[in-house]
Amino acid sequence: MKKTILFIMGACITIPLIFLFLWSLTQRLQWPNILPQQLSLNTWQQILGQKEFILSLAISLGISISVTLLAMAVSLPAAFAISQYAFKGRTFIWIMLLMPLIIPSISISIGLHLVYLKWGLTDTFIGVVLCQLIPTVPYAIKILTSNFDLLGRGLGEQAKILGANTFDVILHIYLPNMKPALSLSAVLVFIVSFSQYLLTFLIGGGTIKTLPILLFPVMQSGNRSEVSVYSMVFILTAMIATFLIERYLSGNNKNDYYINL
Amino acid sequence: MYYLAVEAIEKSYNNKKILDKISFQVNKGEFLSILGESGCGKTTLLKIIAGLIKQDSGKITLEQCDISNTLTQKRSIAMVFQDYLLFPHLNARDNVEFSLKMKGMEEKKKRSIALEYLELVQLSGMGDKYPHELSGGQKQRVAIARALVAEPKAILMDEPFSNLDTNLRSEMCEFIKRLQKQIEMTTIMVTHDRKEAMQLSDNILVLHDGTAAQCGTPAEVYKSPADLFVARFMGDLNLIEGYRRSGRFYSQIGLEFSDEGIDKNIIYAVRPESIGVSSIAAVDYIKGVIQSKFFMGEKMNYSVLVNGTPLNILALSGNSEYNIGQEVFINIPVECIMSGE
Amino acid sequence: MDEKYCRGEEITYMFKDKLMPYILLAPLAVLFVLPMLLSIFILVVQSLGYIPALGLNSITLKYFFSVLKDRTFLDSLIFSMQTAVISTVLTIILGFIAAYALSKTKEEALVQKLVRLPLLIPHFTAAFLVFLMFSQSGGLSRVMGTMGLLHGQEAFPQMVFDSMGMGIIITYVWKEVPFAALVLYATMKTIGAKFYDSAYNLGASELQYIMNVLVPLTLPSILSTFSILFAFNFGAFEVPFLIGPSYPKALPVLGYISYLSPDLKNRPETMAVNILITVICLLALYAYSKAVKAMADMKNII
Repeated sequence: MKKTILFIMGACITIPLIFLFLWSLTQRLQWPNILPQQLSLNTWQQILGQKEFILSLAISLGISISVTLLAMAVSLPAAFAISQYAFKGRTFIWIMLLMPLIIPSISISIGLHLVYLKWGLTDTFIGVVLCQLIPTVPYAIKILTSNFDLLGRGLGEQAKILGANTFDVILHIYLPNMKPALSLSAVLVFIVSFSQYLLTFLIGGGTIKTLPILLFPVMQSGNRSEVSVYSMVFILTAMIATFLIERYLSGNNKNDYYINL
Repeated sequence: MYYLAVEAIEKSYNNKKILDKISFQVNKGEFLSILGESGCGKTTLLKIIAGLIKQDSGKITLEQCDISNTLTQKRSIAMVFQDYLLFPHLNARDNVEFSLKMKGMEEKKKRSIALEYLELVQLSGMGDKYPHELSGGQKQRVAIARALVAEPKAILMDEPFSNLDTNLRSEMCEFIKRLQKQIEMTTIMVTHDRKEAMQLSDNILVLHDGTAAQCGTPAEVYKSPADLFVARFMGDLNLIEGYRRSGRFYSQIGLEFSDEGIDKNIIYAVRPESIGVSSIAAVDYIKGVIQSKFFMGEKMNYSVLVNGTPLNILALSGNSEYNIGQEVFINIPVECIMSGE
Repeated sequence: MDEKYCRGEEITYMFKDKLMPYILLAPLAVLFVLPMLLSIFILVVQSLGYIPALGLNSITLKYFFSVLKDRTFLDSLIFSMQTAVISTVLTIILGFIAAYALSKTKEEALVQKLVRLPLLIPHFTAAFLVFLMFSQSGGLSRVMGTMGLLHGQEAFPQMVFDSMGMGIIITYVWKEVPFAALVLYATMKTIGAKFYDSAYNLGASELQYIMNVLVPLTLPSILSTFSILFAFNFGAFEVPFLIGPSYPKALPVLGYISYLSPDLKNRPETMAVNILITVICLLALYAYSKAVKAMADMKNII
């Protein structure tokens, strides 16, 4: 019985993706055919050949990698502080971190757009990178804080007694023991950033064309084949990036899930 | 006939045999302890009897019914776990009521029976408290009440005293002994503590490396152990090496007695409290010198060097005390000598 | 020995400990907290009618009232509520079942891998997948047509762009069940497994165990996941934008279109709409915080 449930779940996940793949290989599929008569790589060639497409892929990757690095740099010390110290404003910060998860993206995006307009950061690469910190940092901090909590204060206190300063403690004592959590945070940040549409659209103003920005109008135009190719490129890129991040950061083979929202 | 019988139970994990042809029987109302070192499969055996783990082979019968393949829900054998496993979201009374709720009993009846059992374990008035508000001993009593309320035919207890402080332990030991006799419940308890096993049980089953080393009353297992492991497990030992020749035993320490059997090298054992010690020589007493002594409350522990071999002796503190270096005379009564290998 | 220590003064690192958390939080404060606070502030201020750039200089609640009376707004509100509630309830139920099935299997690794896949797929792609499968010329329709159950693609019911929001619901459920399953699975593994033996020994059947032990013990986790998913489903923009009906538009889509409208006179109303969406989501946050507190209590208890 349980196996059936899991099997159905597996089917529900994989069947649509198979469809996606099939649709990317054909320009036209008459109803009620399920499998295309002719497979062709036309759409793939067409799209991969477009300069605009390659450029947007590069911009997307550039932004997402920058966001990942920046988010981790901001989140690590913050998570350490939240986990290891009791200080005034801790609850306030914790609530602030929850905001992007609860407040609708439309409201946040509009609010940030108005703020960034005042700061002159709209229509810039750096503006997009900075604003994407908002939806991504909460995930990273939650995962890292929960991991710091797990490791406890003992390690740090020991090291301090032996003369280490705080940065040493974070970098050399805690970090090596946190590989799975680091990799999970980095992956999540990357995925959330790579998948952003609304925020990038408003802040980027159409000047910064990431892959989702390019994709949305195509989705509304209705050419399934093109959308399928875009989607597949997107998914494959995400998978490769995730794989690379995990490979680089994670020491283990196991997937430990520190999902403690 | 036996009430609960276990025949040739076997269980392996990862190709390692945890239980190897374990067999024993329990009479109605009897208290059996399963004694053994930590991690030797005692808990596994208990869970197999309860029906929570399936045995690889072997049979279990209860009141002449074969329950080897019956689901745990239907076996009528209740188990009290080492960690008590009280449901944290239910208060004491709801915990006790649980099995009745599973049977679909109506509210009022459930409640009155639960309160009855809480009184039985001397926890009346604690019904509204939640597990995290109870002390270790109280939690254990709730767990016992919860198991008893289902009116099982037998009850299994997994190391019931391991999570309690020493003082609480002896209290709970007495409590359980009284309760068990009062309600005449067939009980199997698993423990690694020989003192508790001896205090509570009608019979003790000693497990060694997954096999049943011996099954007998506490006195039998203590005084006539089946092998060296059991002997060592049940208490301290002094080993006496020697040889048998022409119907007589000779040993290095000077002990001699008539001993029928084939001529061979043999090792006998004797318990520290069985060796007599005196400052006056008498017949069959052997000379020795006190090397060290320890005050242990009601007993004195002496180490006496006898012809090159140190012997451990326990004497009551009330008797005369000896000093280090003092020459004494020790006596080993033949009836206290344990053999078997 | 440190001189200061001998003189009775506090050792330096104690002092640093008072300052250190703030140093560590500085980047977060500047790059995250500050923009967030300002955004919220601007939204609130503009929704109250104070937009000096447009010559609106008074604080008033009139824009809120006008929005709340607007038919379009109310229809969108009901629509968003409906889709959010239905999709979240379905997700939790299916997620719970999946988590339970997961907790009973032994091939953990395979299962983890499988469940991670939807996490990689963004919501807009998920929306497209639902479109591919459930539109009138989509996968399901084709399968039924091939089997002879439909005489033409028009016979297939409208499941995408429909006024019930079915396509939206299916998308959210598809994307979020793996997430809910993962979270609940983690809780079940730690909490549920312990009480399995004792419940069964006391006579509980599998269903009784689930209803009387597993659900109560995982309830805080269930509630917190529900709150987060509800808030998201209610306030999310992409999926209804892509496969939602043209009327009623989901509330976030309404907010978006209103914001992009060149007629800036509507600006306060746009802000009011956004604030209202936010308030509803914040109520979900309140429920979440209660659940987290219950979870913390439960951790002390177990």
